[in-house]
Amino acid sequence: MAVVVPNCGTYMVEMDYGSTTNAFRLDDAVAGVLNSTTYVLDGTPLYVDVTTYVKSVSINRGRQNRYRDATGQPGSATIILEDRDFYFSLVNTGSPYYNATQARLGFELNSNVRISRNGTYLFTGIISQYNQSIEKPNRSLVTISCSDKLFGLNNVKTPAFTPVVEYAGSRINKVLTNAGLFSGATDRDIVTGVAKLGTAAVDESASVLEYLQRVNNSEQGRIFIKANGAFAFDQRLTGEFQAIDATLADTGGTAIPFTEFDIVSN
Amino acid sequence: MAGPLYSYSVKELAGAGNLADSVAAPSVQRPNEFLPTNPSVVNTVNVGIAPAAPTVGTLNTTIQYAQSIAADSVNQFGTQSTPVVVTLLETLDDAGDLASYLIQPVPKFWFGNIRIIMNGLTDAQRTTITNLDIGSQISVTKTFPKSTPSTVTQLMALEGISHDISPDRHIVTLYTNPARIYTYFILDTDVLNNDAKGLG
Repeated sequence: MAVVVPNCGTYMVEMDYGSTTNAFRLDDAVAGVLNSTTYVLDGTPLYVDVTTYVKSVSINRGRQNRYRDATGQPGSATIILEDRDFYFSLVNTGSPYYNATQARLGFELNSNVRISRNGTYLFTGIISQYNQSIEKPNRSLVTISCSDKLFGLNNVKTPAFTPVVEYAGSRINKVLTNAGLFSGATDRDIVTGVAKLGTAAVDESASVLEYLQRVNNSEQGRIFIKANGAFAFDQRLTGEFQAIDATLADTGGTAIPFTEFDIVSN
Repeated sequence: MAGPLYSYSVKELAGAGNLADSVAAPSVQRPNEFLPTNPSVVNTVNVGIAPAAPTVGTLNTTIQYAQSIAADSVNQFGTQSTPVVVTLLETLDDAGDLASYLIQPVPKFWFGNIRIIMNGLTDAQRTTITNLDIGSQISVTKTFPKSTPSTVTQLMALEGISHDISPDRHIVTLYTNPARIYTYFILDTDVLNNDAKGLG
Protein backbone atom coordinates (compact mmCIF):
# COMPACT_ATOMS: atom_id res chain seq x y z
CA MET A 1 0.00 0.00 0.00
CA ALA A 2 1.05 3.58 -0.58
CA VAL A 3 2.96 5.28 2.22
CA VAL A 4 2.48 8.78 3.60
CA VAL A 5 5.70 10.72 4.15
CA PRO A 6 4.84 13.29 6.82
CA ASN A 7 4.29 16.78 5.38
CA CYS A 8 5.30 15.57 1.91
CA GLY A 9 2.54 13.49 0.39
CA THR A 10 1.51 9.94 -0.45
CA TYR A 11 4.16 7.92 -2.25
CA MET A 12 3.90 4.68 -4.16
CA VAL A 13 6.58 2.39 -5.59
CA GLU A 14 5.14 -0.20 -7.95
CA MET A 15 6.94 -3.10 -9.59
CA ASP A 16 5.80 -5.48 -12.30
CA TYR A 17 6.54 -9.12 -11.45
CA GLY A 18 5.87 -10.55 -14.88
CA SER A 19 2.29 -11.50 -14.24
CA THR A 20 -0.62 -10.33 -16.35
CA THR A 21 -4.34 -10.88 -16.33
CA ASN A 22 -4.78 -10.44 -20.06
CA ALA A 23 -1.90 -12.23 -21.81
CA PHE A 24 -2.68 -14.12 -25.02
CA ARG A 25 -2.29 -17.90 -24.45
CA LEU A 26 -1.98 -20.21 -27.43
CA ASP A 27 -4.70 -22.90 -27.68
CA ASP A 28 -6.69 -21.39 -24.80
CA ALA A 29 -10.42 -21.30 -25.57
CA VAL A 30 -10.83 -17.76 -24.24
CA ALA A 31 -7.36 -16.17 -24.00
CA GLY A 32 -6.15 -17.76 -27.22
CA VAL A 33 -8.74 -16.31 -29.62
CA LEU A 34 -7.13 -14.39 -32.47
CA ASN A 35 -8.04 -10.71 -32.91
CA SER A 36 -9.17 -10.52 -29.31
CA THR A 37 -9.09 -6.99 -27.91
CA THR A 38 -9.07 -8.31 -24.33
CA TYR A 39 -6.14 -10.76 -24.53
CA VAL A 40 -3.02 -9.29 -26.11
CA LEU A 41 0.54 -10.47 -26.78
CA ASP A 42 2.62 -10.25 -23.57
CA GLY A 43 -0.41 -8.79 -21.76
CA THR A 44 -0.47 -5.62 -19.71
CA PRO A 45 1.97 -5.47 -16.80
CA LEU A 46 0.41 -6.25 -13.42
CA TYR A 47 2.05 -3.93 -10.93
CA VAL A 48 2.32 -4.70 -7.25
CA ASP A 49 2.63 -1.92 -4.69
CA VAL A 50 5.83 -2.54 -2.66
CA THR A 51 5.97 0.84 -0.90
CA THR A 52 5.64 -0.51 2.65
CA TYR A 53 9.00 -2.25 2.21
CA VAL A 54 10.83 0.80 0.83
CA LYS A 55 13.73 2.15 2.88
CA SER A 56 14.79 4.83 0.44
CA VAL A 57 14.44 5.96 -3.16
CA SER A 58 16.75 8.13 -5.21
CA ILE A 59 15.99 9.29 -8.74
CA ASN A 60 18.28 11.07 -11.20
CA ARG A 61 16.94 12.26 -14.53
CA GLY A 62 18.42 14.50 -17.22
CA ARG A 63 21.82 16.18 -16.90
CA GLN A 64 23.40 18.54 -14.42
CA ASN A 65 25.20 20.93 -16.77
CA ARG A 66 24.19 21.55 -20.38
CA TYR A 67 27.70 22.59 -21.35
CA ARG A 68 29.56 19.66 -19.82
CA ASP A 69 27.16 16.70 -19.94
CA ALA A 70 25.71 15.04 -23.02
CA THR A 71 21.97 14.81 -23.44
CA GLY A 72 20.24 11.53 -24.26
CA GLN A 73 21.65 9.64 -21.28
CA PRO A 74 19.18 7.30 -19.54
CA GLY A 75 17.62 8.43 -16.27
CA SER A 76 18.08 6.18 -13.26
CA ALA A 77 16.50 5.25 -9.94
CA THR A 78 17.72 3.22 -6.99
CA ILE A 79 15.21 1.60 -4.66
CA ILE A 80 16.32 0.00 -1.39
CA LEU A 81 13.86 -2.44 0.19
CA GLU A 82 13.86 -3.70 3.78
CA ASP A 83 12.72 -7.23 2.92
CA ARG A 84 11.36 -8.27 6.33
CA ASP A 85 9.11 -11.01 4.84
CA PHE A 86 11.71 -12.31 2.34
CA TYR A 87 9.14 -11.73 -0.40
CA PHE A 88 11.86 -10.16 -2.56
CA SER A 89 14.45 -12.85 -1.92
CA LEU A 90 16.04 -14.50 -4.91
CA VAL A 91 15.98 -17.89 -3.16
CA ASN A 92 12.47 -17.91 -1.65
CA THR A 93 10.33 -20.17 -3.84
CA GLY A 94 7.42 -19.46 -1.47
CA SER A 95 7.38 -15.73 -2.27
CA PRO A 96 4.05 -14.49 -3.66
CA TYR A 97 6.13 -12.96 -6.44
CA TYR A 98 7.89 -16.19 -7.36
CA ASN A 99 7.25 -17.08 -10.99
CA ALA A 100 6.77 -20.86 -11.01
CA THR A 101 6.76 -21.02 -14.81
CA GLN A 102 10.16 -19.39 -15.07
CA ALA A 103 11.40 -20.94 -11.82
CA ARG A 104 12.74 -17.65 -10.51
CA LEU A 105 11.63 -14.47 -8.76
CA GLY A 106 9.26 -12.40 -10.91
CA PHE A 107 11.19 -9.17 -10.34
CA GLU A 108 14.12 -9.29 -12.75
CA LEU A 109 15.96 -7.51 -15.52
CA ASN A 110 13.63 -5.35 -17.65
CA SER A 111 10.64 -5.67 -15.27
CA ASN A 112 8.65 -2.43 -15.19
CA VAL A 113 8.93 0.00 -12.26
CA ARG A 114 7.14 3.25 -11.52
CA ILE A 115 7.38 5.71 -8.64
CA SER A 116 4.74 8.34 -7.91
CA ARG A 117 3.76 11.06 -5.46
CA ASN A 118 0.04 11.77 -4.99
CA GLY A 119 -0.62 9.95 -8.27
CA THR A 120 1.90 11.94 -10.33
CA TYR A 121 4.82 9.90 -11.66
CA LEU A 122 8.34 10.89 -10.64
CA PHE A 123 10.00 8.03 -12.54
CA THR A 124 8.93 5.30 -14.95
CA GLY A 125 11.42 2.68 -16.10
CA ILE A 126 12.72 -0.86 -15.90
CA ILE A 127 14.95 -2.88 -13.58
CA SER A 128 18.56 -2.94 -14.77
CA GLN A 129 20.13 -4.67 -11.76
CA TYR A 130 18.77 -6.57 -8.71
CA ASN A 131 20.93 -7.30 -5.67
CA GLN A 132 20.10 -8.88 -2.34
CA SER A 133 22.36 -8.72 0.71
CA ILE A 134 21.86 -10.64 3.94
CA GLU A 135 23.07 -9.36 7.30
CA LYS A 136 23.28 -11.57 10.35
CA PRO A 137 21.11 -13.11 11.56
CA ASN A 138 18.52 -12.73 8.82
CA ARG A 139 18.11 -9.14 7.72
CA SER A 140 17.55 -8.91 3.98
CA LEU A 141 18.20 -5.69 2.08
CA VAL A 142 17.37 -5.57 -1.61
CA THR A 143 18.88 -2.89 -3.85
CA ILE A 144 17.09 -2.42 -7.15
CA SER A 145 18.77 -0.30 -9.83
CA CYS A 146 16.49 1.00 -12.55
CA SER A 147 16.90 2.86 -15.83
CA ASP A 148 14.35 4.60 -17.96
CA LYS A 149 13.57 3.28 -21.41
CA LEU A 150 16.32 5.21 -23.20
CA PHE A 151 18.56 2.46 -21.83
CA GLY A 152 16.86 -0.13 -24.04
CA LEU A 153 17.35 1.92 -27.23
CA ASN A 154 21.03 0.98 -27.09
CA ASN A 155 20.07 -2.59 -27.90
CA VAL A 156 17.91 -1.87 -30.95
CA LYS A 157 19.48 -1.32 -34.39
CA THR A 158 18.22 1.50 -36.61
CA PRO A 159 16.41 0.01 -39.62
CA ALA A 160 18.06 1.34 -42.80
CA PHE A 161 16.19 3.86 -44.94
CA THR A 162 16.81 6.82 -47.22
CA PRO A 163 15.42 9.92 -45.57
CA VAL A 164 14.00 13.04 -47.15
CA VAL A 165 14.86 16.58 -46.12
CA GLU A 166 12.96 17.13 -42.87
CA TYR A 167 13.16 18.69 -39.43
CA ALA A 168 14.74 16.83 -36.53
CA GLY A 169 11.41 16.02 -34.88
CA SER A 170 10.08 14.39 -38.04
CA ARG A 171 13.26 12.31 -38.40
CA ILE A 172 13.04 11.13 -34.80
CA ASN A 173 9.42 10.12 -35.25
CA LYS A 174 10.35 8.17 -38.37
CA VAL A 175 13.22 6.30 -36.71
CA LEU A 176 11.09 5.36 -33.69
CA THR A 177 8.23 4.22 -35.93
CA ASN A 178 10.54 2.17 -38.16
CA ALA A 179 11.94 0.47 -35.06
CA GLY A 180 8.45 -0.09 -33.57
CA LEU A 181 9.24 1.92 -30.45
CA PHE A 182 7.01 4.18 -28.32
CA SER A 183 4.09 3.41 -30.58
CA GLY A 184 1.23 4.13 -28.13
CA ALA A 185 -0.95 7.18 -28.61
CA THR A 186 0.61 9.03 -25.66
CA ASP A 187 4.09 7.52 -25.80
CA ARG A 188 5.79 10.44 -27.58
CA ASP A 189 6.13 14.17 -26.95
CA ILE A 190 8.21 15.36 -29.89
CA VAL A 191 8.46 18.94 -31.13
CA THR A 192 9.24 19.93 -34.73
CA GLY A 193 12.77 21.16 -34.03
CA VAL A 194 14.91 23.87 -35.59
CA ALA A 195 17.49 21.74 -37.43
CA LYS A 196 16.62 20.78 -41.00
CA LEU A 197 18.29 17.48 -41.79
CA GLY A 198 19.59 16.33 -45.15
CA THR A 199 19.36 13.06 -47.01
CA ALA A 200 22.44 11.23 -45.71
CA ALA A 201 21.44 7.57 -45.80
CA VAL A 202 20.52 5.93 -42.52
CA ASP A 203 22.35 2.62 -42.32
CA GLU A 204 22.10 -0.14 -39.76
CA SER A 205 25.48 0.52 -38.17
CA ALA A 206 24.04 2.59 -35.34
CA SER A 207 21.72 1.72 -32.49
CA VAL A 208 18.53 3.74 -32.27
CA LEU A 209 19.91 5.68 -29.31
CA GLU A 210 23.15 6.46 -31.15
CA TYR A 211 21.30 7.69 -34.23
CA LEU A 212 18.93 9.81 -32.14
CA GLN A 213 21.93 11.34 -30.40
CA ARG A 214 23.38 12.06 -33.84
CA VAL A 215 20.15 13.83 -34.80
CA ASN A 216 20.23 15.77 -31.58
CA ASN A 217 23.84 16.69 -32.19
CA SER A 218 22.53 18.63 -35.19
CA GLU A 219 19.71 20.13 -33.14
CA GLN A 220 21.40 20.67 -29.75
CA GLY A 221 18.08 20.21 -27.98
CA ARG A 222 17.20 17.49 -25.49
CA ILE A 223 16.27 13.83 -25.75
CA PHE A 224 14.87 12.26 -22.59
CA ILE A 225 12.20 10.06 -21.08
CA LYS A 226 9.58 12.05 -19.18
CA ALA A 227 8.64 11.15 -15.63
CA ASN A 228 5.53 9.38 -16.97
CA GLY A 229 7.59 7.20 -19.33
CA ALA A 230 6.90 9.03 -22.60
CA PHE A 231 9.74 9.72 -25.05
CA ALA A 232 10.42 13.46 -25.34
CA PHE A 233 12.39 15.64 -27.75
CA ASP A 234 12.85 19.38 -27.14
CA GLN A 235 14.33 21.69 -29.72
CA ARG A 236 17.31 23.99 -29.13
CA LEU A 237 16.46 26.97 -26.95
CA THR A 238 15.91 30.02 -29.09
CA GLY A 239 15.04 32.73 -26.59
CA GLU A 240 11.34 32.59 -27.30
CA PHE A 241 8.49 33.58 -25.03
CA GLN A 242 7.77 30.89 -22.49
CA ALA A 243 5.59 30.62 -19.40
CA ILE A 244 7.15 30.18 -15.97
CA ASP A 245 6.19 26.86 -14.38
CA ALA A 246 7.52 27.58 -10.87
CA THR A 247 8.69 30.67 -9.00
CA LEU A 248 11.37 30.08 -6.36
CA ALA A 249 12.66 32.73 -3.97
CA ASP A 250 14.07 33.31 -0.51
CA THR A 251 11.85 36.34 -0.05
CA GLY A 252 8.79 34.62 1.45
CA GLY A 253 5.23 35.03 0.21
CA THR A 254 3.84 32.44 -2.18
CA ALA A 255 7.19 31.79 -3.87
CA ILE A 256 8.69 28.35 -3.24
CA PRO A 257 11.58 28.49 -0.76
CA PHE A 258 14.85 26.65 -1.40
CA THR A 259 17.51 25.64 1.11
CA GLU A 260 20.69 26.00 -0.93
CA PHE A 261 22.10 26.32 -4.41
CA ASP A 262 25.41 26.73 -6.21
CA ILE A 263 26.48 29.45 -8.58
CA VAL A 264 27.71 27.20 -11.37
CA SER A 265 29.52 27.92 -14.61
CA ASN A 266 29.84 26.37 -18.02
CA MET B 1 13.28 33.39 -33.75
CA ALA B 2 16.12 35.92 -33.95
CA GLY B 3 18.89 35.46 -36.53
CA PRO B 4 22.32 34.17 -35.56
CA LEU B 5 24.51 36.50 -33.48
CA TYR B 6 27.73 35.50 -35.21
CA SER B 7 28.39 35.28 -38.91
CA TYR B 8 30.12 32.29 -40.40
CA SER B 9 32.43 31.45 -43.27
CA VAL B 10 32.49 28.32 -45.39
CA LYS B 11 35.61 26.16 -45.30
CA GLU B 12 36.74 22.84 -46.71
CA LEU B 13 38.69 20.18 -44.91
CA ALA B 14 42.10 19.56 -46.41
CA GLY B 15 41.72 15.80 -46.10
CA ALA B 16 39.22 13.82 -48.16
CA GLY B 17 35.95 12.59 -46.74
CA ASN B 18 35.10 8.92 -46.52
CA LEU B 19 32.09 6.66 -46.23
CA ALA B 20 31.66 7.30 -42.50
CA ASP B 21 31.42 11.04 -43.16
CA SER B 22 28.65 10.53 -45.69
CA VAL B 23 26.40 9.11 -42.98
CA ALA B 24 27.80 11.50 -40.35
CA ALA B 25 29.21 8.58 -38.41
CA PRO B 26 31.93 9.31 -35.87
CA SER B 27 35.56 8.50 -36.62
CA VAL B 28 38.82 9.09 -34.81
CA GLN B 29 39.57 12.13 -36.96
CA ARG B 30 36.05 13.54 -36.81
CA PRO B 31 34.15 12.84 -33.58
CA ASN B 32 30.41 13.25 -33.33
CA GLU B 33 30.36 15.53 -30.28
CA PHE B 34 31.26 19.18 -29.99
CA LEU B 35 33.93 18.79 -27.31
CA PRO B 36 35.95 21.95 -26.79
CA THR B 37 39.03 21.84 -24.60
CA ASN B 38 37.28 23.94 -22.00
CA PRO B 39 33.52 24.53 -22.30
CA SER B 40 33.70 27.77 -20.29
CA VAL B 41 34.65 29.64 -23.46
CA VAL B 42 33.97 28.38 -26.99
CA ASN B 43 34.81 31.04 -29.55
CA THR B 44 35.45 28.99 -32.70
CA VAL B 45 32.86 26.43 -33.72
CA ASN B 46 33.11 24.18 -36.80
CA VAL B 47 29.95 22.47 -38.07
CA GLY B 48 30.17 20.26 -41.16
CA ILE B 49 27.47 18.74 -43.32
CA ALA B 50 27.51 15.17 -44.55
CA PRO B 51 29.02 14.91 -48.06
CA ALA B 52 27.49 12.71 -50.75
CA ALA B 53 28.45 9.06 -50.46
CA PRO B 54 31.58 8.13 -52.47
CA THR B 55 30.83 6.34 -55.73
CA VAL B 56 32.92 4.27 -58.09
CA GLY B 57 35.42 6.56 -59.76
CA THR B 58 35.08 9.30 -57.13
CA LEU B 59 35.97 7.54 -53.93
CA ASN B 60 37.03 10.71 -52.22
CA THR B 61 34.65 13.47 -51.27
CA THR B 62 35.12 16.93 -49.91
CA ILE B 63 33.76 17.95 -46.54
CA GLN B 64 32.49 21.49 -46.28
CA TYR B 65 31.87 23.12 -42.95
CA ALA B 66 30.70 26.40 -41.50
CA GLN B 67 33.08 28.12 -39.11
CA SER B 68 31.76 30.73 -36.72
CA ILE B 69 34.26 32.85 -34.78
CA ALA B 70 33.74 35.34 -31.94
CA ALA B 71 36.71 37.62 -32.66
CA ASP B 72 36.55 39.64 -29.42
CA SER B 73 36.58 36.44 -27.40
CA VAL B 74 39.54 35.07 -29.36
CA ASN B 75 41.45 38.28 -28.60
CA GLN B 76 40.63 37.96 -24.90
CA PHE B 77 40.93 34.23 -24.25
CA GLY B 78 42.82 32.87 -27.25
CA THR B 79 41.29 30.39 -29.65
CA GLN B 80 38.98 27.88 -27.94
CA SER B 81 37.82 25.66 -30.76
CA THR B 82 35.60 22.64 -31.31
CA PRO B 83 36.66 19.92 -33.75
CA VAL B 84 34.95 19.77 -37.14
CA VAL B 85 31.82 17.76 -36.43
CA VAL B 86 30.05 16.34 -39.46
CA THR B 87 26.33 16.66 -38.71
CA LEU B 88 23.15 15.51 -40.45
CA LEU B 89 22.20 19.11 -41.33
CA GLU B 90 21.06 19.79 -44.88
CA THR B 91 22.83 23.03 -45.80
CA LEU B 92 25.81 25.14 -44.81
CA ASP B 93 23.35 27.86 -43.80
CA ASP B 94 21.89 25.44 -41.25
CA ALA B 95 25.43 24.56 -40.15
CA GLY B 96 26.24 28.27 -39.80
CA ASP B 97 23.18 28.82 -37.61
CA LEU B 98 24.23 25.95 -35.35
CA ALA B 99 27.84 27.16 -35.19
CA SER B 100 26.63 30.59 -34.13
CA TYR B 101 24.31 29.04 -31.53
CA LEU B 102 27.17 27.09 -29.97
CA ILE B 103 29.45 30.11 -29.48
CA GLN B 104 30.06 30.93 -25.80
CA PRO B 105 32.22 34.07 -25.96
CA VAL B 106 32.60 34.56 -22.19
CA PRO B 107 32.05 32.30 -19.18
CA LYS B 108 28.49 32.15 -17.88
CA PHE B 109 27.39 31.89 -14.27
CA TRP B 110 23.96 30.88 -13.07
CA PHE B 111 21.99 29.55 -10.13
CA GLY B 112 22.15 25.77 -10.26
CA ASN B 113 21.84 22.62 -8.13
CA ILE B 114 18.88 24.17 -6.31
CA ARG B 115 17.78 22.08 -3.33
CA ILE B 116 14.21 22.13 -2.08
CA ILE B 117 12.94 20.24 0.97
CA MET B 118 9.38 19.20 0.25
CA ASN B 119 8.52 18.89 3.98
CA GLY B 120 8.66 22.65 4.40
CA LEU B 121 6.29 23.55 1.58
CA THR B 122 2.55 24.10 1.30
CA ASP B 123 0.42 21.54 -0.56
CA ALA B 124 0.18 23.81 -3.58
CA GLN B 125 3.95 24.35 -3.65
CA ARG B 126 4.59 20.59 -3.39
CA THR B 127 2.26 19.98 -6.32
CA THR B 128 4.08 22.60 -8.38
CA ILE B 129 7.46 20.96 -7.69
CA THR B 130 6.08 17.47 -8.38
CA ASN B 131 4.81 18.57 -11.77
CA LEU B 132 8.19 19.97 -12.89
CA ASP B 133 9.96 17.95 -15.57
CA ILE B 134 12.99 18.39 -17.79
CA GLY B 135 12.35 21.42 -19.98
CA SER B 136 10.15 23.22 -17.44
CA GLN B 137 10.86 26.93 -16.95
CA ILE B 138 11.56 28.35 -13.51
CA SER B 139 12.30 31.73 -11.99
CA VAL B 140 14.74 31.92 -9.06
CA THR B 141 15.17 35.03 -6.89
CA LYS B 142 17.89 35.38 -4.25
CA THR B 143 18.60 38.33 -1.99
CA PHE B 144 22.15 39.08 -0.90
CA PRO B 145 22.79 41.34 2.13
CA LYS B 146 26.31 42.30 1.03
CA SER B 147 26.12 42.32 -2.75
CA THR B 148 25.09 44.66 -5.52
CA PRO B 149 22.45 44.32 -6.76
CA SER B 150 20.94 43.02 -3.55
CA THR B 151 18.31 40.98 -5.39
CA VAL B 152 19.04 38.79 -8.38
CA THR B 153 16.37 36.98 -10.42
CA GLN B 154 17.22 34.40 -13.06
CA LEU B 155 14.86 32.71 -15.53
CA MET B 156 16.02 29.24 -16.42
CA ALA B 157 15.05 25.93 -18.00
CA LEU B 158 15.45 22.62 -16.20
CA GLU B 159 18.05 20.24 -17.58
CA GLY B 160 17.76 17.64 -14.84
CA ILE B 161 15.91 16.69 -11.66
CA SER B 162 16.83 14.42 -8.78
CA HIS B 163 14.70 13.15 -5.89
CA ASP B 164 15.94 11.68 -2.61
CA ILE B 165 13.04 10.14 -0.72
CA SER B 166 13.15 8.45 2.68
CA PRO B 167 10.30 7.58 5.11
CA ASP B 168 10.49 11.05 6.66
CA ARG B 169 11.89 13.37 4.00
CA HIS B 170 11.83 14.25 0.32
CA ILE B 171 14.56 16.45 -1.13
CA VAL B 172 14.36 17.69 -4.73
CA THR B 173 17.39 19.07 -6.59
CA LEU B 174 16.89 21.08 -9.78
CA TYR B 175 19.66 21.33 -12.39
CA THR B 176 19.25 24.39 -14.56
CA ASN B 177 20.28 25.93 -17.86
CA PRO B 178 20.85 29.68 -18.14
CA ALA B 179 18.97 29.89 -21.41
CA ARG B 180 17.45 33.16 -22.43
CA ILE B 181 13.76 32.97 -21.67
CA TYR B 182 11.49 35.95 -22.15
CA THR B 183 8.22 36.62 -20.44
CA TYR B 184 5.69 39.15 -21.61
CA PHE B 185 6.11 42.81 -20.70
CA ILE B 186 3.11 43.95 -18.66
CA LEU B 187 2.19 47.62 -19.01
CA ASP B 188 2.16 49.55 -15.71
CA THR B 189 3.77 46.59 -13.93
CA ASP B 190 7.15 45.94 -15.52
CA VAL B 191 9.95 48.46 -15.91
CA LEU B 192 11.53 49.40 -19.21
CA ASN B 193 14.90 47.98 -20.30
CA ASN B 194 14.38 44.70 -18.44
CA ASP B 195 16.01 42.24 -20.84
CA ALA B 196 13.92 39.33 -19.52
CA LYS B 197 10.72 41.00 -20.73
CA GLY B 198 9.49 41.36 -24.30
CA LEU B 199 6.53 42.49 -26.36
CA GLY B 200 5.86 39.11 -27.99
